This record gives sequence, C-alpha cells and structure tokens, in this order.
Amino acid sequence: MSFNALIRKLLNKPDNSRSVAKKRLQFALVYDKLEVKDDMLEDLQKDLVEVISRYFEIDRESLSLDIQRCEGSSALILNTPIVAAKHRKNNHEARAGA
Amino acid sequence: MDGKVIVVTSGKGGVGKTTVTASIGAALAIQGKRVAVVDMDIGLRNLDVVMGLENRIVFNVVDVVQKKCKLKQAAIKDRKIDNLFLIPASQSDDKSIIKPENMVWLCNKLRREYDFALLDCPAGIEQGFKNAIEAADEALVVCTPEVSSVRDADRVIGLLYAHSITPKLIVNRIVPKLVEKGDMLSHVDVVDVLSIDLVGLVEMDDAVVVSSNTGNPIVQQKDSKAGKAFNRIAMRLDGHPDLPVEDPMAHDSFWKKIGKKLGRKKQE
Amino acid sequence: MTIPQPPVKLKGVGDSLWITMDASLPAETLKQELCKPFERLRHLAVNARVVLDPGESQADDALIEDLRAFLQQRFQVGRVSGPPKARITPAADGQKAAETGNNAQNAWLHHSDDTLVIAGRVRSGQKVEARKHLVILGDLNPGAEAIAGGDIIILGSLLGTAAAGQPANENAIVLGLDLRPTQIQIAGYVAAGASSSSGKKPEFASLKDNQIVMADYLKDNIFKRLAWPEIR
Repeated sequence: MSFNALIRKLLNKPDNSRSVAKKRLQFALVYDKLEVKDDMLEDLQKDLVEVISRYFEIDRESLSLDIQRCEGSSALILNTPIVAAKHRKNNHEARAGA
Repeated sequence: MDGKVIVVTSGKGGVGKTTVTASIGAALAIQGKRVAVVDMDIGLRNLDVVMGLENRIVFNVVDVVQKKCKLKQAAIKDRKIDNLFLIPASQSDDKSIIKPENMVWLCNKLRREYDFALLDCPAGIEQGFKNAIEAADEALVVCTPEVSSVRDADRVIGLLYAHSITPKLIVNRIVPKLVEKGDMLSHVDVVDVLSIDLVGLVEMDDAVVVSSNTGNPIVQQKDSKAGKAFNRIAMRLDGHPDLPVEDPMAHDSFWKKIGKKLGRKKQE
Repeated sequence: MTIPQPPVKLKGVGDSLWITMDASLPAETLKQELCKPFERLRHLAVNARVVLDPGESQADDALIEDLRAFLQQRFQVGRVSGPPKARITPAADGQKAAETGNNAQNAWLHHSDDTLVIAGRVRSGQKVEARKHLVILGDLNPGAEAIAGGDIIILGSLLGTAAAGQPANENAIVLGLDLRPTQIQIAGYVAAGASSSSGKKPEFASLKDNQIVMADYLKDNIFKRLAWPEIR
C-alpha cells in the first residue's frame, strides 16, 4: 500500500473514492425511484383534486402538481388555490355518496 | 460533414461496455471532436453514473424520441471535458418503448449534430440490442478473455454481420500475470476464434473502479494503463487506424523476460 | 461489344422458382418475357413459390405487385415475393465482407445439391444444414451447429456441435483437422465433448458398436482398407 493510502487509513479520512461512491449511489437510487411515467402524475393529480374537493372548494384550473428535485432531497409540490372551505355536514354526505 | 454512429456492444453483460463507451467518448472529445454518448439501456441506466452526471438529468433519450424535447435539451454537457455530451436513458420505461424506426430518425439527428455518437448497447440480443444496432455505422464488440464472454461476442458478431455492420474488437480486463501462467486466455486465442479486426487491448486496472466511484474519467487519470489504452483506441477510430496495438504481455520487467527465456529453454 | 442479357431468366433454387429480371424494362415487356418460361412449365408452376430478383436494377414495390398479380392470375402460381432485402448503409470499410456474409446465409437455405461446400467461419448461433454431405473450409466456432444427412468434413477446427447422418445414417462420419467438439451426433447417437488429448491433428468420429468413437485419421484411416472407391 502506498504511503499516502496508509496515512489516509490511519487518520480515517473519509475522502476516498469508496465514500464518494456510496453518497452518489444513495442519491442516484432515490432519484431513480422518483422518475415517474407521465400518466402516473396525471392520475395522481385527478385523485388529489377529488379528495381535496371534498373538503375545500378549489379552483381546479389553477391546480399544479410537480416533483421537485434538488441536491440531496426531493419533494412533491402541490399548489391549490382555495376558494372556500366546505361545510362539514356536506362532507359526510359527499363521502357516503362517493 | 456527417458524423459517425458507433454502437458498443458485447452480448455478455458486465464486460465493460459502459466504461469503454464513456472512456472512448472522453478520449475523442479531448482530442477535439464533438462527441455524444448515448445510453441505450432503457430502464437500467448507468452511463450517467459512470460519468458522474446522474444529478443533472432532466430529459432522456425516450423524451427525445417521443419529441417531448429537442436533442440539444436532453444532451448533458460533461463537467470536466468540453465537447462531450451525454444523452441518458430513461429509468422508468422498458426497451419496447423505442422502435427501430425511431432509431433511424435519432441516428440521423446525431450524425448532423456530432462528429461521433457512441451508443452504449444493453446486454443481450433482444429488442434493446436490435434497437441500438438498427442504424449504426460501425460497431465495437467488447469481450473479456473468458470462454462465456467470447462465445457471446461470437454470436453478436454473427448478428452484426447479418445486419451489414463490420465489427471491430476490444479485449478488456486482461490480466497479464494470469495469461503468463496459462490461467487466462491470451488475446491471441480470442482474436483467433473471433477473427475480426482488433482495435484495442485493455488491461485490468484498479483505477477504473476508482474512476467509476468518483465519476471522473479514467482517460484523465495519470498513469492509468487502461486510460492510455482507451486514448490509443480513440486515436485508431479517428484517423490513425494503423497505430500498432500494444500487447499488455510485452510490459514485462527485465527480470521477468530473463525468467521467461530460461523457462522456455526448460520446456524444449 | 457486350452480349445482350435476356431480360428474364428463370431457374429453380431450393423449393422456389427464382426469376432474375431487368427491372428497368417496362412492365408490359417483362410480362411478355415472363410468359415464355412459364408457358413451358405449365402445371409445374401452379402453386409454386416465385422470387422476383431485380438483380442490379431497382424494382419498386408497385412493379413487384403488378407482376405478382399477373403471375397469380395467368399461371396460378403460389406466393410471389421480391428478393430477400439487404440493408443499405453508408459505405464503410469491409462493407463487402458484411454483405457477402448476409447473402451466404441465404444461399445455404436454398441449397439442395448432394454436397454443400462452404468456406468461412461459422459463428456461434449460426446453423448450417446440408441434405447430404457437408464440407466446411474454415472453422465451426463453439456455439455453432452443423447438421448433415451424410458426412461432415471440416477442414479447420470443429469447436461447435456436429450432427452427421441425420436422421438415421449410421455410416456417417465427422472429420475435422482439429476436432474439439462441444458435441457430436451420428444418426441417433450422441457423444458429449472430447477428451483433452484430442485436437490439433486430423481426427474423425464414427459409430462402432453403437458408440461414437474418435480415431486419428492419418493412423487409423479405415477407408484406406477399402478395396475400391465407394460412393458415400
């Protein structure tokens, strides 16, 4: 083993390529699982709109659903302008009817 | 002038196609050419990871073929090397999503935009392979000095000839010590059976593992035997086809050479 | 002065009638020329498979369609097709080698003479079949298959599988200059691989007492003992 590698091992420095690889791998795996087919996002949007409409009046036209990715994390972002909250009584009826 | 589309294939999986594609692409770009490397392993992408560009993917080759984006939008510029672009595979589709007609269209576009387009072919001989070879101009067959790899390479060579593509051979992961001991096929045996033009011999090199861990190109690592071999292969593909192929077995130390001579005398 | 080629030539290839024609001529002329050989064939042409080969000239699909309709209606032929398509690629070095490879494979399919002699390397995944005897000037790679009704003679290395004497000719032999097969079959008998001592010298395999035995061809040439030459 070269002198450099020996020193690195003794001081337990984490910048060897193995740790770099592990970090990249963790990110890549999460990223891969996030890649979704277009129709999946559309169906999700439809379902979400339906569920939210049971509780709130929403402006369906202005609703947007997206997956946001940035270094190290990811998020599902849903933007829904709310017009008004629905009355609780209606809720139970809506649920029974649905 | 039109560019060239070269498919890198092997039949057997795990012999180093992706490393070869990324490295030769990098070497050609360093030599001044405008190069695109395309990952044709739909559903199992890895060319992006090897090149360290996995966190830059916005569009992929399926988006291009389905006209959801332009070719330029999907092409990711390499972090370190100018003129090198990656068109990644999609991870959520499977290989049936691209049809041979799509490939003809795609390769025409690639020829207009780039001097060289290297297609990283998936393992196997099914739809993914058929798509990748559909409109290619040339083929590089990668194999290791192992019986199963050579047999699969032979099959693939037959299929390439039937598709009117003349393949050239790269023998990868050669371990000179084992060849010397007689425990590994020599590249001479491999070329004998496969009988196609040899365009490069690449020695097994630990630096390749480090390169793929960090996403840094092997051709830029100092003192990497594999890196030097890939550079020579790129030169042969781009205007110097007669550059002699270096035999890894010839890099013997002085004492080893003496030892070999004495050993030979004993056998005779 | 060049000898004028007949615009239409007919020959039997395999199980079909192969028509070489000059597609630059107008359809009417071609139809008239086609009448000549087909009229002579009469009932032999009924339900026959016909291949229309424009050769060097280009034939568009409309012409093939036209001639197909004509032949089927007039002479009651069976299927009519164009020649097997070869791919058009931008010229590359060694393109010739690639194209010949493609055509050779088709040539094997149509062959029906007694002995098939081919030259070249038979690669993994490829199969060569001969009705009677098979001679290969070249190697049979591991993963490749050779099947013959009679003998298989390989003037090169036999590394793949060879099945001679199919289906029931027990006199057939498999001969190779470098016999290291994956498997040998003679008639209904099978033998796996060969011992490590084989290879690098001409050897042949034959059936003796219901077993496949390999012998050195130069030392144990059983054929030398025959009193006079026999047809195999």
